[in-house]
Amino acid sequence: MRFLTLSALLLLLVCIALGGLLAFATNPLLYSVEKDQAGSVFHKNPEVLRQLAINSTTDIAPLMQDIIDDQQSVAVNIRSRDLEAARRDLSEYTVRYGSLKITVVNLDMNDAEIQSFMASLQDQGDILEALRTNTSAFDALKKIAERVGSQNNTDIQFSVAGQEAALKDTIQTLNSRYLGSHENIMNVSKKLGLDTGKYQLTLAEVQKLVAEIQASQLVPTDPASLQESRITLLAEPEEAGYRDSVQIFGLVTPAGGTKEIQLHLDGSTLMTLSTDPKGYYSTIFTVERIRSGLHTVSAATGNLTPAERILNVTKTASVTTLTAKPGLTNASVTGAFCNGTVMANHPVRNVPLTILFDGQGILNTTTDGEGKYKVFLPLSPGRHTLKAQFSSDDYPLFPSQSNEVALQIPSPPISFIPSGNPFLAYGAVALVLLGAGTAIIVFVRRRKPALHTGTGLQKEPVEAVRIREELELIIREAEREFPPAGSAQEAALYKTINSLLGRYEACLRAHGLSEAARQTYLTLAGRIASRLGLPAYRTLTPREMSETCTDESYAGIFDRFVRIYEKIRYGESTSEQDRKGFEVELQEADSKVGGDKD
Amino acid sequence: MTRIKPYTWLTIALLLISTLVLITHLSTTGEEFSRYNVGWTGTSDFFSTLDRHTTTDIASPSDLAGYKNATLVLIAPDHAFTPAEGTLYRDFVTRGNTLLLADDFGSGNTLLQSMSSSIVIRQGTLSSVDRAYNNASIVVVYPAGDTRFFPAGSPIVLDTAATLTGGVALLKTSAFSWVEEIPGNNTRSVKVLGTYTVMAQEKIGNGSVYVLSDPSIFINGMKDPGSPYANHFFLGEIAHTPGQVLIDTFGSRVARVYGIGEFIQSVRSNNEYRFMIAALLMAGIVIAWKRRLI
Repeated sequence: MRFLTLSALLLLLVCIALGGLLAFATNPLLYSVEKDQAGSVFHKNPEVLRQLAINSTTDIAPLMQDIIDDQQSVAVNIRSRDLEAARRDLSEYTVRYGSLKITVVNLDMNDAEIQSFMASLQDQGDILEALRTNTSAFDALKKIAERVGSQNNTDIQFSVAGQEAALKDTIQTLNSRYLGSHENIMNVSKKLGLDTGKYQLTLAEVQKLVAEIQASQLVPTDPASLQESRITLLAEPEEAGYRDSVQIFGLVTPAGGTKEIQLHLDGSTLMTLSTDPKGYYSTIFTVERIRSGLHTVSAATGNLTPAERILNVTKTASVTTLTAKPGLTNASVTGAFCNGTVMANHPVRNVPLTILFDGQGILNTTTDGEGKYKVFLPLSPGRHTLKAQFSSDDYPLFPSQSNEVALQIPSPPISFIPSGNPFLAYGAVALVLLGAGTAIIVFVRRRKPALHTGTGLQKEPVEAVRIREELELIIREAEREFPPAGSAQEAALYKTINSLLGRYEACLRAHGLSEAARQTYLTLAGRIASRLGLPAYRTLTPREMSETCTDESYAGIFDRFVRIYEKIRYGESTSEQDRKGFEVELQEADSKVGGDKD
Repeated sequence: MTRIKPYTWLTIALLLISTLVLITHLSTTGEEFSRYNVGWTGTSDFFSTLDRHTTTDIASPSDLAGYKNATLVLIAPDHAFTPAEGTLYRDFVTRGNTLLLADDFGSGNTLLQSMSSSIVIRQGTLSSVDRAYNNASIVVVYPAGDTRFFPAGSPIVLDTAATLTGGVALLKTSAFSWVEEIPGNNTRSVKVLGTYTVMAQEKIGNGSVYVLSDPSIFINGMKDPGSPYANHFFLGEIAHTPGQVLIDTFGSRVARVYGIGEFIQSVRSNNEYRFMIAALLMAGIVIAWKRRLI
């Protein structure tokens, strides 16, 4: 009963503990960083955030300062007509702007007021670039005006005047845009404590540039001439080489709405343009794939007489280079890896190129967008001479060829893997290795000494046979001395004395307490072994026997019986108290184990 | 007496340990800013540094009467203060005491208004380029003048702070900071760059009111963001400020605990209950012994 009470108490405690834990299982207070990332409106969990080792203001402020300062050199270079330097400065400005933009995005600032600052910076970059190209166009126009000033060619004067007005309009618009974004940048810069001294000088330079252009008067304009229906065309320069840019522009009068202009080159359509509301049109034509010589450029719209100009495309010298080194492809094909460039002040893009080898063989290839080429030339082992040659009438370029390159192509290395399909070759090698491995295993197994006894397919290891035979011997000896449950000897005893307690008492009188206890233990153990299917139960100690039946209903009773049995049998106790205790436990065990059985 | 097997003793020992762990576990809470919350949102670490001999809980504004040269710490209030309650707080400050209010999106403004303070907590999340972690709302702020709570020049990290207007600025953000005026709204918010005040002081009578626009500086997750930030120093200065330290549990969320934890905390904070529980446990042991259960 006491055992049951204790068990019930333990069960209750377990239930309380489990119940308490289950109540919070769905919403545990055992925090883990992964489960608790979100935080609330009050805070974010710093445990799940990456700590920053830098002070971000010191990163972004210098970048912002640099980018607003950079504009000054751009404006100064445009005004002083060093347009190439201005282009380089603008490239640098674009790179800095990209860095700043990345920093702003990384710092989650792109939604803040800084966004308008960034937009203004980008706009000012675009404005300065537009100022640079329009200043260049204005300078080109100025050259035309100077050239034709004494020719009294009204058509050209008319075109120049129209283009001049268009460029002045554009530059004035750019100026207004620059002023607008300048104010925004000044406000944010002052708020952030940036030095705006250089930036203000930039504005002054832009203002001076615009004022200078607006003050220029290239050709006088007769307002009456703007009412005549006609189209004019100008090309500047009229003589150009490979990759030169030719400005093509003109005017359609009278003004009003946009008109479609068809631009032709030697009678073939070159492109289609639209005029602005004032009738101006312009484009840039880059000389590239066009034969050298005189070409006619014409502009036409509606039923007006087309305007024509002659463009003289001159040939430019080209330079071809070649480097080559021996090599292999597909592990066995010998040859040379050839690469080089074709240049004509600029990279010569997408042109055909021929590689001559040994004075007779040829290999055709093409340059890429950067004027480079790279090709493998198959060659037999031995000495070879190579040369790259560019020659094409489709381009305004003189032919060119590289220096001759002498090359020694070595023999291919000897391969153990046959040529052809590599999968088949590797498969064959794998099969050979597999066969060799199998042969080694078979050989080793045959040489291995016989470690098994018996015959036939089911051979038993020698050590297992020895252990089994020893156990069988122990069991046979035990059974000779004590009859196992259900044996003939026990049946005879049952006939004489049909109760375990009676046999115990008979044995107690004949052999004493220790032997009587042993016999009764063996009887009970035999019953349990029969029930649980333990043929070798006699090899178990009483405690081991007790542990085999821990899941049975009589486990507790048998356990107590075993403990007092051990006290008598192994502790050699002969006390009256232990004998009585043993008999009490025996009666209970007999009734439980025997009763269950019967 | 029944002989108990060793594994039974082991089981009992494990169960007792489990029960103790369970009680400890149940005595905590997940309430934000609660001193019983041992997680990163709780303030258990800060409260464990307080000296219990010089720290007193203030459960009602009327308890503030009689104190002099004391500092009342009010963290994350969520109780709307009435004018009458505000008057009691104002009287407390006027007598020469100090009130340190740490609040961002709670009810701190009702207290400041009822005390006729010029300081206002603006309801907008502060973000900055200067941050200690890769989150714009964990901002680094800088001392703007001398103060009793932090060393001059040492930056402090705040976690999702609001901003302040009024009073004398003590802590400010860098110029690369902005406030999201409409947090969580689908409408595009206006974010204006500028320098914002996050801690301000105002003299009222003989005392002072300090307002910090972020109570999260007291939570366990923010106790020490490491060098070069002076958060640890700041908390230490408050915990060991000269004079009596009073913890407001009337309007603050620091004393919040619910469910089984509330019961356990009420037992822990009441000596009569503790003696009663101890007596019951001893009686149980005696009964078990008598009945030879143990």
